[in-house]
Amino acid sequence: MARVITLTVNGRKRVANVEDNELLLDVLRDKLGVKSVKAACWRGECGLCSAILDGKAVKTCLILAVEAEGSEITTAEGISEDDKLSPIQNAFVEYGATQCGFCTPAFIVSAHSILQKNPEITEDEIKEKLSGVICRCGTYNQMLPAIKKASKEYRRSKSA
Amino acid sequence: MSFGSPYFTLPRFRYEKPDTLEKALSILQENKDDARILAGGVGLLNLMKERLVEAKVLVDIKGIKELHKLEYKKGQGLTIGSTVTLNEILEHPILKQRYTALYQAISTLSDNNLRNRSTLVGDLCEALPWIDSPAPLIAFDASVNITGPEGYRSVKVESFIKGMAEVDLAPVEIVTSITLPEQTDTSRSIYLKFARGTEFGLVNLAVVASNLKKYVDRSVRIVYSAIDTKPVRALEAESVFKEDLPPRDMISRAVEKIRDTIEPMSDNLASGQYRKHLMQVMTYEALTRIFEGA
Repeated sequence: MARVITLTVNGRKRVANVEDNELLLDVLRDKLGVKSVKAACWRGECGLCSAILDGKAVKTCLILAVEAEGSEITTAEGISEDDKLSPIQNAFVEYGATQCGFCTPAFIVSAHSILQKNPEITEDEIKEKLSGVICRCGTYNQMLPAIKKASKEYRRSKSA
Repeated sequence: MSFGSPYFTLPRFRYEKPDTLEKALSILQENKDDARILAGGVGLLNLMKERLVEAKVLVDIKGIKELHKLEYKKGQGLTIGSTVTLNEILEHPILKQRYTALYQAISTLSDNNLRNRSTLVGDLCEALPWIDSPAPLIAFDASVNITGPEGYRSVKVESFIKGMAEVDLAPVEIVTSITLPEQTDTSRSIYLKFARGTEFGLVNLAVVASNLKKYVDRSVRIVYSAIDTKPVRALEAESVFKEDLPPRDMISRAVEKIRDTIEPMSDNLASGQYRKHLMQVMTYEALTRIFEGA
């Protein structure tokens, strides 16, 4: 059945015509033009379609678009503030924590959501919480110090 | 985007999101075998993409408020509603404190981004041999609360899982929650999983024990999953702890009973012989840690 859904994507109200069996991933990419959510495995294993849905990082390939009716979605495009990169994005640039860059948006949103929730996070916890996102180039050793550095900024903004 | 392969797209179905349990039950009653319940969707949508599960109607139960209940009552235990996500459960302080084995099992299953979506009831209802939730739930003697056209019923998790991907649930029924009985101050529990990386376990083990010091009231429950088509309780080994013996002797006798009375399955992940070896090592480890902590 075709229906119209309304959702907030990166702070903007968006409307889309969707079928009941369409995935949120496909609607974000093909109907709303949000290309930072990547389609790779379609089965919840690689985590590259991650986005923040109502404050929580989720994999959009395992969510129906109709389930997201009325919800708020943040992707990598929506994390920077007024054209200024967010602390996590700056840290990724500083540490060269990307190689091909395909997984970067997924790591950015997943790391952003865990740091917002708990900026005091330990190295082991970062590894565990991000274990659902895969970087095939293997830049984990650049990402880990980048995320730890960014956590200081999140701590500062949380206490401010 | 779609490449036209069944792997990436879902077949056509109708999506329904009732806001009360009554409405959900009547949709199920109308559609019977053609309807499937959607909570986290992590398991169901994957199975539908692979065309292993068919459905003409998906009933999203996330709009039903009473199913989103996570409540601990002193003396009565912990109730986990069917739309409560795994991360929401992990964040409840009582879990780590009193239901350690379940906390450990949920922490090891899938990953953070999926745990934000998937539910404990969904995991249990999938009933695949290697899933993590059944062993600790059976060890805690948990029950599944079910509502259907004929009213309410409650089944022990032990009998709820009937076999591989087979549960004691009619297409017209809905699991509303899982209840774990109260654990006393003397109870200890542990969950051990032998897996490669984040893959599914070759052997999952849950042990729940209480009153370890007084042998008359002592209770030890040992449950495995991933070793057979459904979870296995080590009743013979459990009975060893009814005797008044030093912990070391009881532990070694329990491990012997495991060796002599349980025959784990062989599959493409591991041979039965290898699983049996793992079971003995893990059981020794788990029981030793339990008795040291008592």
